[in-house]
This record gives sequence, C-alpha cells and structure tokens, in this order.
Amino acid sequence: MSGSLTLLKEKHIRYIESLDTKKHNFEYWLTEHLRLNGIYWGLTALCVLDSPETFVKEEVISFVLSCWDDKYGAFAPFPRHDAHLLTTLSAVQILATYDALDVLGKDRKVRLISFIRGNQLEDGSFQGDRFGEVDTRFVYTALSALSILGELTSEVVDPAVDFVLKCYNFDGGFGLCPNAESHAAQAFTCLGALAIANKLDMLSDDQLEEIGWWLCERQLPEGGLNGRPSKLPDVCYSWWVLSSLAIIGRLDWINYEKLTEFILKCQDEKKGGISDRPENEVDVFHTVFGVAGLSLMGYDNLVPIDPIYCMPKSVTSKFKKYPYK
Amino acid sequence: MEEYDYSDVKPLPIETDLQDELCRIMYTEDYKRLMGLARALISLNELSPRALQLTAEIIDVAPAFYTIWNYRFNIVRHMMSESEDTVLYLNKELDWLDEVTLNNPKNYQIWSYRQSLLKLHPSPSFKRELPILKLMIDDDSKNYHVWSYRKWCCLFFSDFQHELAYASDLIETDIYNNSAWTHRMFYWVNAKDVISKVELADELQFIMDKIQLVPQNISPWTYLRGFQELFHDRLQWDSKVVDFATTFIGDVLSLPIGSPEDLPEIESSYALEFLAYHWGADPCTRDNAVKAYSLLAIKYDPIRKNLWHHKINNLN
Ligand SMILES: [Zn+2]
Repeated sequence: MSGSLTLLKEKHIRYIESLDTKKHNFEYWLTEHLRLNGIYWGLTALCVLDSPETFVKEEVISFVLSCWDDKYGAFAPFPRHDAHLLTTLSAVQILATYDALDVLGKDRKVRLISFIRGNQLEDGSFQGDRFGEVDTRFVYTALSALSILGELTSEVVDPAVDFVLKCYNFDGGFGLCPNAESHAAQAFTCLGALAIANKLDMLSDDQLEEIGWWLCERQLPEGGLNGRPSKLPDVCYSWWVLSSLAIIGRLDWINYEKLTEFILKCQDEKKGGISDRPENEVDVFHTVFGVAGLSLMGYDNLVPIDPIYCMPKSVTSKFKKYPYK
Repeated sequence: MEEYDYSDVKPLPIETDLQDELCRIMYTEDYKRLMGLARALISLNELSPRALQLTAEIIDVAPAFYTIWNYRFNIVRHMMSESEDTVLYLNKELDWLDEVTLNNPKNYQIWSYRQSLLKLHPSPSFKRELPILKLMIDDDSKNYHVWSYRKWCCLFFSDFQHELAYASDLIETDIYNNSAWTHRMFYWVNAKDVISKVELADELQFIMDKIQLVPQNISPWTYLRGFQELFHDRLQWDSKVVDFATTFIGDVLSLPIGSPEDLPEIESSYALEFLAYHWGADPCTRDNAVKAYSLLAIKYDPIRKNLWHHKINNLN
C-alpha cells in the first residue's frame, strides 16, 4: 500500500508559498496572534523539503523585526501586538534558521534575554505573557530560545528542570503542569527542555523505559499516533511522539512503515499540504509536523531535522551546548 | 448589553505602516473599529465600565487574543476595589466568564483568567465552580484544560471530597475516558496518606469490574499497574490481581510459539503485557515474561515488536 503513496514535495512547497498571498480572507486576520508562529512553521517545512528560498529571506526578516514590541522588549505575533514568549521563540528560530541573529543588535538582544528570564516564576516554570498561563510549553519555549541565543544560565536552568521533573506522571508520560494528565505534546516539551539543559540523566533508566513505552503505546494499529490513550490519531503527534522518542534514543519503537503510510494518506493531492487525519482540511501546522516526522524517520532523503529544536540539524549543530565551557 | 459612548476616543490605527507585502491586511470595518478603540484605551490605561464592555465585545470575536484578557483583568481588579461589594462584583464577573466559557470550549486563556479571579476573590468557593465544570465535561469529557482546572481547584481549595465519585460517574459513562482514570489516580496520590484494607480491596474490585466489562482497554490496565505500585512493591502484587489478569490470555502461555495464524485470539493484549511486566521482576517467572513478550511481538501487538524485543533482551 505505502508503495503507491509518495510525498508530494512540490505540491507542499506550492501550498506553503500560497499561504502568504491569501491575506484577504477572514480567517487570516483572526489568526494574527499566530502569524509569526505560522511563518516559522512554513519556513521549517520548506527547509525540510529543501526549498527555503521559496520565502524571500529579506522580507521575512523585515517582517520579524516589525513584530518587535519595544514596550516589553520581545516579539509579538504581529506588528503592534503584545510580546509573547511563544512568538519570541518563533522569531528567534526564524532568525537563527537564516543565520541572521545579528540583525537583533546588542540592545535588542539584551532586552530579549531579560524578557525571557523575567517570565520565570518562583517554582521554575514560565508564564507565556504577563497574564500568567503556566505550563511546560513555556518552559521549553524559554529554554529553547535562550539556548539558541547561547544565553542559558544555571539560575534559569536548574529550577526549570525541577519543575519539568514534577510534571512526570505514574504512567510514564508528562502533563502540562504537575498532576495534569499525560499528553504527547508535553512529553516533547519536557524531554526537549531536559535535553537542552543537558539534564536527561535526571531521569532513571526505569523512567526512560516507561517514557518510551508510553510514547510508542501512542501508535494505533492503523499506523497513526494519538496524543492520549483512546483518542484519535493526528499527524502533529508524528512530531511530538517521534521527536520525544528520538531524544531518549528509542525512535525505532515506532513502526515506521505504518506511520509513514498514515502521514502520506493525510496529504491533499490537489492543492498540497497535510491535514491532521485523512480527508480533513490541510493547514501549515500539520504540514510542518508531518514532513518533520517523515524526516526523523529518514524518509526519502528529506533534510535532517533536530528532534530537540524542530529546526534543520545544519542550523542547530552551530548552537553552543549547555553547560557552556 | 449597555450602550457606551466612545466618541471621545481617537482610535489608534491598527494597520501597520510598513510597506512590506507580508503585512498588508484587509480588516473588516467592525473589527477595525473595536480594535482601534481597544488600542487607544489600553494606551491610556483607561480602567472603566465602557472599557470592560469593549473587552467583552472583542473576546466575543477573538477569544484567543491574549492581550485583551490582560487588559480585562486589570480593569476588573481596579473596578473591584472601587465597588461597594467586592464579592458581588467578582461573582458577576465569574457569571460573565461562565457564559464565555460555554461558547469557547477550546480556549485556554479562560481557565487561567478564572484562576486569577479566584485568587483575587475574598471568599472563593469550589461549589460555585462545580456546575460549569460539569457542563464543560458533559460537552467534552476529555477537555484537557477543564480537567487540569478541576485539579487546580482541588489543590487550591484542599477539597477532594467529590472527586472519587465524580471519576466513577465519568468512567460509568465512558469506560475509555483516560482523563477520568487519571483523575482517579490524582485522587489517591493527593488525598490519601493511608489507605485502609477495605478501601484497597474496594478499589481493586472497582478496577477489575471495569476491566471485566471491556478487557481490551488500556486505561484501567495502566491504572491498575499504577495503583499497585502506589501501595505495593512490584513483587508483592496481590495474587488475586495476577490471577485475574491470567483469565484474559487463555492458554497461550502453554502453547508452542509457532506462526501467528496458529495462535488463538485472546481477550486482552494488555493483560498479557501486564503479566509480562510482573513476571519479569522475579527470576523464577522470567521465562514466562520472555514468552509473553514474544507472543506480543509475533501475534498480539506486532506494531510494537521492536519494543517487545527490547524487553526480551533486557531480561536475557
Ligand atoms: Zn493535530
């Protein structure tokens, strides 16, 4: 079956390119709060598909800079919106992918770092904005951004690691905060944070076995992965689950052939793009996580992606590894 | 809805002045008007009833727009201090929030906003939260944010009295509801320093009854294992539980491992896995564990065969 399905690379590239020109519809402005994230997803998908030049580098960089929120000293999803930790990571990822972090300049970089550090709470967790939703996503986001900037410190890392470890559950999964139900996306944010902090050794061998079990237990007989037990499979979990397994060195506990088949079935053969499950409407979010998952499985010479940062390995290999020498 | 006058406010333009092709966006007139007003009021830091009304209108069209929640919280905190009856004022705000919550089941800003209101409230009550929690879970019994919020409430109010019965109800309705099973574990971990022999036996019976109804359901098996480990060492599992698990695997352990077609169907692959895990801990039963893992790899859960082979390697 999977023999007859192939990755429609060219179609996906055209699909991502087309998103940019669909500015005149209603949904587009409603998603302003995700715009910078969307550009990061699109760019990363293009990198995996070996076609980064589909976006005009200078335009993207100038858009990123236009999202700078000078009041708070970080990046907003869109010009004149308020800075947020999630979009700040996207901005840093985009600039790093283009090897253009220098455009930040010293002043902005200093403010950016203090914004990120300033969102850390006493228990080691981070809030996404000044309002204060707290969850492990933001711990990952903060550590990842600081790591890309080469600015991690033990004052930030140690309490963050303590918080992440508290989110580990009896079933081998990780929750959004201590006590919350295990969820595949949280496995990624927690393991990613630990990997960035170089603290995976805080997990015992037994815990790593359990974590690996919980993650590969997400694969359903049809091949797709779900985010929690008894939920439907969804392409974005190809990323959250696979990257987590890759981080703990147990990627082969997933059946590649079946998962590949599931992802390929979620392609829109006409207009390109990948959806959450077969026959659904495609979007850029599931497109990037679909191709990134395929890249982790070594599919068809896709450009290798780093499971910790969700960025091309050629980019992340240049990051300074914590703890710094 | 009250009518407020905003004619004295000069809306701030919301289109960016950048010429960049990426940024040129068409807004609808109404959205433009609302956002322009909000930007202006935020920049003036106006904390007034009409500003509050405006945030409600914006949340109506764009509930995920986090800035507006920040702003609303600042307004409420200010107006609360000016109002004659803080409790009444905050309860009214919670009533409004209930309405918004029902209309936006996927939004998560709502829940952190709610937590902030309760922290602000002079006399918060778990009881007031229970109906909206119930409505939201009735609507989507696995809503992650609602469950997380419910746990937050239990810890915030140090009140676990409703939880076991609530989890049972939800499991009665949908035996596959992993959120409810997880909540049950949360109850035991947080509410119980000691568990009596009777409670232990009752809980085991509850789990076994549910497994008996649907043997191939991962949630109660994981829960059963977690529950055993919470109160016992892995070697000292209740023999009743081990015997119970063996009733779901037929006689496969005594059959020769041949081709998958020659092996019979069993009622639960999770039972086999559960037993393999238990047997693997004791050198005397290790052979059984190896056999069980081999059976999983060949026949009963082949999609994870690499995992099962890894388990066998660990045992050898
Ligand atoms: Zn998804």
